[in-house]
Amino acid sequence: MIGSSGSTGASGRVAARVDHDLCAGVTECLRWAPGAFRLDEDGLSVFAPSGAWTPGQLMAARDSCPMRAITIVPDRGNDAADGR
Amino acid sequence: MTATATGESTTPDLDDLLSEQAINDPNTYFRRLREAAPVRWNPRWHGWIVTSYTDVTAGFRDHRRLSSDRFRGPFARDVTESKNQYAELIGFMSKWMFTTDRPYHTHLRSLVNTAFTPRSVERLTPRIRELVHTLADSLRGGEVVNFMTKFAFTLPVIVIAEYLGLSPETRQEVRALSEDLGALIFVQGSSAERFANGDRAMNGLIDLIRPVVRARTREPRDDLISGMIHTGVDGDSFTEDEIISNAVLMVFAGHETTMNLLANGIVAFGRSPGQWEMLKGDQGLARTAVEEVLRIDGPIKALARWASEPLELGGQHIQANDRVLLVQHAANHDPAFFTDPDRFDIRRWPNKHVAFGSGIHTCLGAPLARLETQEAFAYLAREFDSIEVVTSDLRYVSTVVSHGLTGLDVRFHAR
Repeated sequence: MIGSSGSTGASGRVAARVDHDLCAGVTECLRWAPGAFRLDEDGLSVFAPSGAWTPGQLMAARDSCPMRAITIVPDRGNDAADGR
Repeated sequence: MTATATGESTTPDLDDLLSEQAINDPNTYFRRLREAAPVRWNPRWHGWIVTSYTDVTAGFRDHRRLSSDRFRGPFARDVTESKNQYAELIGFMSKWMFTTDRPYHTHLRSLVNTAFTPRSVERLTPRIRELVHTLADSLRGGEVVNFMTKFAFTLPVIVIAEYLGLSPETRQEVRALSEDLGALIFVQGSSAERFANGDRAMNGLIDLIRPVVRARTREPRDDLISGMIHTGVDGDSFTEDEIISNAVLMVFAGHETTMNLLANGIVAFGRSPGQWEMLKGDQGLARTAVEEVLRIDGPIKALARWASEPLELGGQHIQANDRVLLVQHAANHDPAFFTDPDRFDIRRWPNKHVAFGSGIHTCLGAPLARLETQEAFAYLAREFDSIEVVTSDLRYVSTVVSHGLTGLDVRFHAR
């Protein structure tokens, strides 16, 4: 389960993927990169850039996740119609 | 109708969370509860008992309406009644992240979270390995050994004490004090006795830790207490009492649960020699094996919340101020979520158990607990051909919250 829609500002080279087999809704990622994640209706994190964020914040979010649920992936922008 | 005089017990009482069955055969007990109703009123506990996977996870994630705060609401009575007598104990307990709500919870957790991320604890691997090797030596020789004292207790308490920066000589004292504090937290024994012992234990731990905090304030080292003093996120920082309080929390939370996880894992493997064979063949399976031990026999059975406002859960109307017990052990055995839930399968994946809870209070120490137990089981599988659990009648400590053995004698057979 991912979202890798468009990105904001200078941060357009990477995106994040949240593995819902691992995510427990701890919300650390929302604290480190508030513009890049939100919670879905089950309380699990999804990568859904809504505001400003930087690749550094994204990496901090990944590293702060106690469940190792976040991976950083190349952002293929609108070409990324792979649906993964 | 009169009961028969044979003494043959009928079906155990479904409302007795401390019944012989609830304590020593939780799989059966919680299955009966879940089948009766996944969210069920318990007049004796005076709250709702939640046993389905869906409702337990929903409960954990609804931190806004299901409060962890022990200083307000229906769980506060114990505390407020003891406030004058045990002011210091209560004062320090009020600074624990797991019994507070947002926003204070965020402040406490954010200041230590970075120390417990998978990446941070990874650097402890060499030391954990060294300890595992040393402790495993005491299991050799084919003699019957007390696994709790020889291995399960010692590994986690040394790891957490060293990580914090406490001196090795204090280990036994830390253990004794933290057990008494655990009895208070895990609700074991009478209320008056718990508070008296808990107060002594808390003061003992404070006396051990405060000088270390002061020393590290002057001269920081590469340890967690120094980290807590000198970490600041967005200008936020800990007070001295917050540091001491959270160091105390890590001491007791970091060893008793991991100890029980290690021991429960030995029991699971002792019952399933085929799974031990599999792990012997591929120690890389230790990672998923630990998740399966957490699922099938985790060290925490249930955690309590209370409703700060009305909500609906599992079709039941929960009123404001109602107590709610989220039973992780039951969720982890829910056949609606796990195929063949009572089968121990170390290859099970995905394995989205809730042994560490879920949501904002998810166990902070999970990455460290995982690392310690993965290293332990991988090495034991490399060194020992088989596990023979000698204790014939396994008995568990009588508490609603934790799931730990009162003793575990084991014979490890060499390869």
